[in-house]
Amino acid sequence: MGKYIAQRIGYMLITLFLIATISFFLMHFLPGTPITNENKLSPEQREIILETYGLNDPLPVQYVKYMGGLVTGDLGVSFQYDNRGVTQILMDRIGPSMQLGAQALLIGTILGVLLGLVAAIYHNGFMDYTSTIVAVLGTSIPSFVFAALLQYVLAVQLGWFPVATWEGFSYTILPTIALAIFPMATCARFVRTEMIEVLGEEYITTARAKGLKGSAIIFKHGIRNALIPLITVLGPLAVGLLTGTLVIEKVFAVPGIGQQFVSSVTTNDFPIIMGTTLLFAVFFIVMLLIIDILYGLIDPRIRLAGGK
Amino acid sequence: MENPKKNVDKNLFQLANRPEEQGDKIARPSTTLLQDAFRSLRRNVFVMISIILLVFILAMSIIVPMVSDHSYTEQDLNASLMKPRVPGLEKMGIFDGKETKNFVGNNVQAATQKANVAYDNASDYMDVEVVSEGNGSPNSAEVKVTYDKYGAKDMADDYYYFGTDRLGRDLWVRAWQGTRISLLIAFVAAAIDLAIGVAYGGIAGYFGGRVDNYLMRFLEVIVGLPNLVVVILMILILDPGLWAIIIALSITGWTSMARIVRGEVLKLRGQEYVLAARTLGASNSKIIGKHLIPNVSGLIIVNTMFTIPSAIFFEAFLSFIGLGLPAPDASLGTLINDGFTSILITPHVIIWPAILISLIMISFNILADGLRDAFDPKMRN
Amino acid sequence: MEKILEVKDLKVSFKTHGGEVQAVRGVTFDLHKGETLAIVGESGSGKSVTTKTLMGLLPKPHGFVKEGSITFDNKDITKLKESELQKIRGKDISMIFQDPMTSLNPTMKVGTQIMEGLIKHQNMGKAEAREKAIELMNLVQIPNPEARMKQYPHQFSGGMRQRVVIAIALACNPRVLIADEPTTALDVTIQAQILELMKDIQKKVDTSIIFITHDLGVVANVADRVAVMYAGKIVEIGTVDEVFYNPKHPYTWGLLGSMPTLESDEEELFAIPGTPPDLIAPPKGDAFAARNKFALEIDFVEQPPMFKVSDTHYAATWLLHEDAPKVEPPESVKKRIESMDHSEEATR
Repeated sequence: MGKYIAQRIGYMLITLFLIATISFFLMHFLPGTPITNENKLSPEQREIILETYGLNDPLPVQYVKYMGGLVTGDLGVSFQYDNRGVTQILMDRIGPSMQLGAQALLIGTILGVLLGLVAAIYHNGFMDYTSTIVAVLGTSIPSFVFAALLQYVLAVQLGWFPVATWEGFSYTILPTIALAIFPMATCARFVRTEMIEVLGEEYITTARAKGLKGSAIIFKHGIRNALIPLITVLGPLAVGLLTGTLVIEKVFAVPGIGQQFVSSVTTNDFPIIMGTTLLFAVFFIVMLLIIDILYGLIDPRIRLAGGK
Repeated sequence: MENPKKNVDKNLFQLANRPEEQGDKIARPSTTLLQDAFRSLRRNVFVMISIILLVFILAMSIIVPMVSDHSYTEQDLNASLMKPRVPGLEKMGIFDGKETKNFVGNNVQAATQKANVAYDNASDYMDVEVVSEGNGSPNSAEVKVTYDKYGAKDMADDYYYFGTDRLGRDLWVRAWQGTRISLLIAFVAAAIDLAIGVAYGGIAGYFGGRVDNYLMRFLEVIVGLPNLVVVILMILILDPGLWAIIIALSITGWTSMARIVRGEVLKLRGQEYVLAARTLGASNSKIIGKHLIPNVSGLIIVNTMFTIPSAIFFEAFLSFIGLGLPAPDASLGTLINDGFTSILITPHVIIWPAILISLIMISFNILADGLRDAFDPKMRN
Repeated sequence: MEKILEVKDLKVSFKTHGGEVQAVRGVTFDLHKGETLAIVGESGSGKSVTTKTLMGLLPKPHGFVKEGSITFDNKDITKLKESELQKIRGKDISMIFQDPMTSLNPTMKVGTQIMEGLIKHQNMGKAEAREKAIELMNLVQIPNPEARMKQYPHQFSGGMRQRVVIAIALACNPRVLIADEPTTALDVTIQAQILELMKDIQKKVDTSIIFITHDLGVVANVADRVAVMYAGKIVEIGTVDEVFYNPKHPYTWGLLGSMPTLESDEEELFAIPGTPPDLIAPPKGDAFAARNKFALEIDFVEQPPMFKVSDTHYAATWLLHEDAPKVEPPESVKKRIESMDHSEEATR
């Protein structure tokens, strides 16, 4: 297992290196930098700025500097905010994003799993149809539409919640709900299918043939087997959360990384865009790694096969 | 269990000598996988509703921008932010293009005066209803003003079914034009995914061995890249526009199709009937065309049906975070983004594109789910 | 002999989109204490459905008992509530399943799976159940039971897993053990081991066994009596000797004739043409008539009743009616029966 994890971390670093390199060069072949767009600047001023940001150095030199910075956790300096390090900007904003993501993931998966289990146990019953409808709506309606709807109805019209910004727990409720819809729907759908399949398995018949009670069968034999594969949807869920944060932080004006990213896109602030991109990539790849390791830990079949 | 001594016609006790084939009668008429799938699809009410809805939306998105009086880029600042007005429905008091708002003041006159200021002194077109008389203290009086903007702007003969946006563009036309563009992006992106994915996965699966090995290694590298990151990077470096979005979506989108097709082809390739065809000297292209493609087609159709809504979503998502089509082009995503900026004052701008994209997404997802169930042999009876 | 289980005119149907499938269409038999009754028949003949019904394990709500009764302990199993069935299942009647690869929970330790029934039915504590589970694993000849208890099913071979399944079934000393094709999914050599094991165990624990199989070789090996099922009905029932050496039903002839033996190189196999009937709309007369070379006109008009051959031997064929023409089994089947006789004697 240890060797396997080490190998996976090695691959992970290579992927990150590739992403950093590719995005660095892509960025530097872009048609416009914020400085060239600023027509008010005189050539002298522009020269000074280019010098300050090291944009006059030959490309390979810039590349080496950038990659060197990455190793020490330095993502460069923002164009938009004078002299502020990208790392610092992102660190300042990561709190709300993480809180939002964690709350949404927690609520979304718990509710989704419950909904899926109930739907499967009462297959073709009322709860099953309810859960299916919720799942279809939740995976279909784009999160920003849902977020805008929540905001307009619950905050603007009814005034139950604050409309936007981030000043306390009550401010986190609406964005959390909006962000939780996707993981909830995805989990509900997945768990329902898995559980229905598991309940049709032969070993469930074996358990029934032992004379076990229905509840014992569902809890001891059903749920565990149905939930193990849930780990595989954590990947798509993570991606869903990332895309979700971008739009939902925009809708609710949450001072997080997503909102920063969206505003940097409009101002062509490449260091921030690149920094965020890399952060997203790290998040995504680490998630994949965790999923793999978790799978090995939880499923006895894989635990043994991959354990050597 | 005694031997029964029933009276039975003795003539019946002779050998029947009926033809043996009777036992081989086929109980039900044979149907192909596709026929079977579509038959079970037809029985699914939700799927049929989704198909009808999608056909309707598609037809509207083609027809409306062609026949409408206004083009989707035509601006008319005089007609900025008009409310929706629909002939017929307006008589029922809905979609009549009128705005209703409450104004407060120290007394009724002051409140009415505020309304006058807000509505360009077009008092002829204002219908004032006193909510509370007030007692002279600040903002104690309240009036409810219904303002006929169409009349005031001398547009009594104009009908904007979905209203207009800030620049006075007809949202009815823009919504359908936006739907057209969103669907176009989704269809083209799905077609590209389909072509690349099927070819790539088919080659890997069919030839197997070293070819498969190399192709899959390469695919794994691409899958390892977070597609959100790739899409955003691609959008940033390409000139913004339709093709930038399509290319960005396709560059990572084909991998899931390739994986699915490869897995299935790999499985089918080892089956007896393919071996039999090969033993009989069938060429590669014949085996692929006659045996593999028809058997993989169900999976391909289902997967494509899931690709389309996810492409629609991704386009809208990109537009919403400012990476979409440049103005004045419209897609559902840019329309929602426009509408969102003024959601508090004029919610009518965001509502129609939001409803349209939701309907399209729900319909495609139901259709895809239905197709998957229809093609799933485990569900067949 | 003491009757332990009495099945009377059992009819079981399934609701499907195509209509009602009449999987079991009137089955009657008794099970005596300590005997092994084999039920043979091709797939879809209703043998598995019959035994699932004995356990109250019909898939609800599609499968249901239409008519008939199953008497066990003076109770009609078909009328029992689910909670009452749970008290019988695994305790008085238990079951061994066909495929050991899928009939064990992959994420639960093997020991726990054996102990579950003990804890449920015998009010044992964990430690006591553990002792008993080890004892059971010894009984089914799983080496090193203490260590094996803590392993998961995927760490067991197919044959070993089937031993685990047998141990689970035997846990509470059931009075009736139903074995649903317990050796079909196993390698031939393992099959023999499992059959030996089952015969051994029956001697030790004195339980009655219903043994479902489509393999006549297995029947000859383990059973005292045989019931032959076709299209949801028992067409012939009797002791192994009666059914094997004096078969009366043409379908039984077909089964015997289509069984290859070591000597079968010269003679051709007697194959049964055609396929079983569609049980959504079963034929009016004898369900086997359309495939039967010896079908009489009456077979297409009326279903044959059970004709008595001896006190223990019955067959449902009009050929046994006094007015019927005398029909002998086909030559190849006769030869087969004779050769079986010889080979049996040779092995004895």
